[in-house]
Amino acid sequence: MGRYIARRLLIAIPTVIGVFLAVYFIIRLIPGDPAAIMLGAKATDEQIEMFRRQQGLDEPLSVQLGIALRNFMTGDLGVSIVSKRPVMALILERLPRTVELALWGIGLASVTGVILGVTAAVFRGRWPDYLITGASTLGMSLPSFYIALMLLTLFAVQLRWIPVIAVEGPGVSRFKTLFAPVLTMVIGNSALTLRTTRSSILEIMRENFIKTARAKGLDEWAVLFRHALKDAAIPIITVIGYNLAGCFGGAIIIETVFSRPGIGLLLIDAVNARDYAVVQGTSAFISIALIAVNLLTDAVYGLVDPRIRVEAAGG
Amino acid sequence: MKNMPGDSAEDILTLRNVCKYYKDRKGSGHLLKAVDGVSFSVRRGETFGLVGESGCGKSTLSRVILQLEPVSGGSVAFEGRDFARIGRRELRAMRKEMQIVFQDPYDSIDPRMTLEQAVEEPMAIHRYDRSLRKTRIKKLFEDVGLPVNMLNRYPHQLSGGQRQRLCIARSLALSPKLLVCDEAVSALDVSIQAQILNLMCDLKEEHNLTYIFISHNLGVIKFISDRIAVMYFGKIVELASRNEIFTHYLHPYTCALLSAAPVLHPSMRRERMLLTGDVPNLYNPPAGCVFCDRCVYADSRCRSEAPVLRGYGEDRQAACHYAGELPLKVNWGGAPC
Amino acid sequence: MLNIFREYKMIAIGCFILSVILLTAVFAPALTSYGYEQVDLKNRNDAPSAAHLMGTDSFGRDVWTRVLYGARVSLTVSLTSVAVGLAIGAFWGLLCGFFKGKIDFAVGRVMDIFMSFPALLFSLLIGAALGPSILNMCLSVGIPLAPIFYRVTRGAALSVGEHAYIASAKSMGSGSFRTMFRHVLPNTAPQLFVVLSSSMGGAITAESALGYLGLGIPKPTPSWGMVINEGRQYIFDAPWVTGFGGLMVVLTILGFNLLGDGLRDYLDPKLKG
Repeated sequence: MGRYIARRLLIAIPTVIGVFLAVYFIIRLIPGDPAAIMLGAKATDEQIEMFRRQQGLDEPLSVQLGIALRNFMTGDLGVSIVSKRPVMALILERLPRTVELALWGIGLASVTGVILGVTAAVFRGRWPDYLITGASTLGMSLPSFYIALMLLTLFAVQLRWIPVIAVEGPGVSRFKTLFAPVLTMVIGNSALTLRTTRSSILEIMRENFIKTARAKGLDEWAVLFRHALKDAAIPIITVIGYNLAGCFGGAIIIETVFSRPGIGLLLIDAVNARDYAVVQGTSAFISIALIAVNLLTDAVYGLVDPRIRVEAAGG
Repeated sequence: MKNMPGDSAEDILTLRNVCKYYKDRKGSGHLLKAVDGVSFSVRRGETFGLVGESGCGKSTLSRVILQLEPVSGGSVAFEGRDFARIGRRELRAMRKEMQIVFQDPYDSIDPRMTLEQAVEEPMAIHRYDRSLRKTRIKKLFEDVGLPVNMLNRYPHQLSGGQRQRLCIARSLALSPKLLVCDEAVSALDVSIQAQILNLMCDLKEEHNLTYIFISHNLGVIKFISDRIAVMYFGKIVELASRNEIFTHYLHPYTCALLSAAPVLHPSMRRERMLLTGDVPNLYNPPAGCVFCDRCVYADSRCRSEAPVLRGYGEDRQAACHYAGELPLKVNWGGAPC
Repeated sequence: MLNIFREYKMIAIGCFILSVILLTAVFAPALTSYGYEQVDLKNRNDAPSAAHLMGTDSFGRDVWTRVLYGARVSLTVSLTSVAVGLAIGAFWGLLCGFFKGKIDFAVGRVMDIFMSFPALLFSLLIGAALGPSILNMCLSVGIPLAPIFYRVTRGAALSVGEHAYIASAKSMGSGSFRTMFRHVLPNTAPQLFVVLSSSMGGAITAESALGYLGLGIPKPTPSWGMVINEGRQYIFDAPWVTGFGGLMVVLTILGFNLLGDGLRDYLDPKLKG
């Protein structure tokens, strides 16, 4: 098991470096002098000159890359031009809000998805099944910004129940700031979990060991929970991992709509303000978080499916 | 070594010490020896039968002969020209000379091609004249007994036997000299098998073909072959003419293989040589004779020293230390043909 | 064709929705009496009425008209983006699935890196690097789609490569590239169609999401993303602008998703629930 995770980690390291390089070069592709871009339009020539020397921008590209990579490895993502603060500090300050949103959103979406999926599978071919699968098809077609906007209009404008800007304050509880963003994630992410749960349970229910369990007299519910759901776990975990990885992209949109100051909003604000140091740092950070989530999913696989453990130990 | 294959004019294909190893997928460094040191030559105009259990390396050998996969060692020479020493362009030209018919007729034709396109394809690759292609397609359809009005159908509309006829037509399109039939009739019903085998016998005369016929079915091999090689675990253990091998087999494995074949009539029931033990571990073969773990006659020499294929008179070779000395006895009752 | 529609209702509904949207886009001028840039400052942010089916935006422009014309741009951009993603992804996927070995490993690692970006972030970065234009929009939406096509094509090519007809073509002297494009590619097409349909939905989403974030197609071309973005500032006074703009996006995605799901059932009846 340890070896299996170690191998995954080993594969992830070059990917992390590759991600950083990709972001670095894409930012470099932005036309114009990097120093002028990094400092923004208001910078004077002297400031630009000083910045060039500070950042080593007058060195050859390979040296610059080396410096950037070394800084990156030590967790130094540069300094924001707008707020003059280290990018890493900005990210860490905003991180809890995004994590909070992601965990609640994906957690509740997964629970909802699994419950609805099991319900649909149990009532297969009857009206609850059609209702649930129909709703999931619609749910999968709703872009998260659209869900978010509609919820914002409904709860903030029509009902005046939640704040327009999702920051805690007098009369605004944490629950109220979280409610609509989390609901957006639940609507957007439960559809896929639901479908996967339903189809894998239906598939497993056809298999022989389920027939055996039924034959030895277990009642339907015991068959469902003790056998079927356990074996449906792998595809469900895959989808939850996929959703968790996808929610970083989703957070960009959701946080923008609800003006919730997390990492996503940090990125969008930086893009709009042309604060490229922050764009570079945040992008790299988000991608690495995504790699970490994928690693985590792999590790959970190993815990759930003994076959993977054995294979890894053998190899 | 007087019985090593040579480049005599009557040999169309010569294999010298051909090996094909695969690396273990898990990267443990073990080698899977699918084909290990196979040497023989095929004479022009004969049908060379290759028989063995499934998994013994027959199909790998056929893929290596056709250069679908590179050899790991040794050489394959067609009409005296070593494949390893010719350029890519020459290899493509040489592919015209040797063709293959695969086991599964459902899998060996691209499902998106009409029958006409399937037969035309090899000629298109080798840039045959367009009008020549059309007349040739018709001729080939007649030769293999397919109605010409099927030209625009798709493979899924055919029966298994018809598909195999199509595969044969396709493989004859380039007028090859050598045809490798890899389990060509195994996937077919027994009655269809007979039809296809008869067709192949006829085509051989008509098109001056040489066959390498690979099968696990002794009956089929006996029916069609002139000479037969018995393969076990990547090695040729015995090679002889058809009559010799069915009466004077020298290798205990051949004996076991023959006795495993079903007989038609209860009165022909005979003593059988039953094998014990398992097929050797692919990644960790025995040090001596590959057959020693399952051979009732095996002794310490067999377990430590691998026997080589040696000649025993005209056209008889066997790879056993005690070939000719063992009391092998099976009444070969004959399979249905 | 009719039989397919009868048996696979999702394909029928999906095709119906998409053809209606396509027709409204093609015949946009016939379906409205306004121009998409026709400003009417007296009727700003009007609620939907008989005169303005979907209301008016902050310049008094008819939202229905802008949505109709926006369909032309959004559908074209999405189609081009998917073509970009398909061309890049399917080419490398085919190459890797066919040749396997070292090239497969190398390209696979590069794709790992691409797949580590959330698609939206990737689009954002490419968009920022290339600057705003319709063509760059297609690239920034299309390139992040490539890894999906790569994965599906590679998987399909690997399994097609196992078939004897590939070995058969090779034994006839068919060169690698000929075998790849004549035999492997056509036989991966079914799987590609399914992804094609669902990634059209993804491209529409991406275009409108980027538009919403204000990083979409530059003015004055109306696209759905732009309609949504322009309505965003007035979401409290005139929610119908963003609402109807987004509704078209939802309908289109729904159409592509239904088509994709139906195609998957049709191609692999085993998966049908």
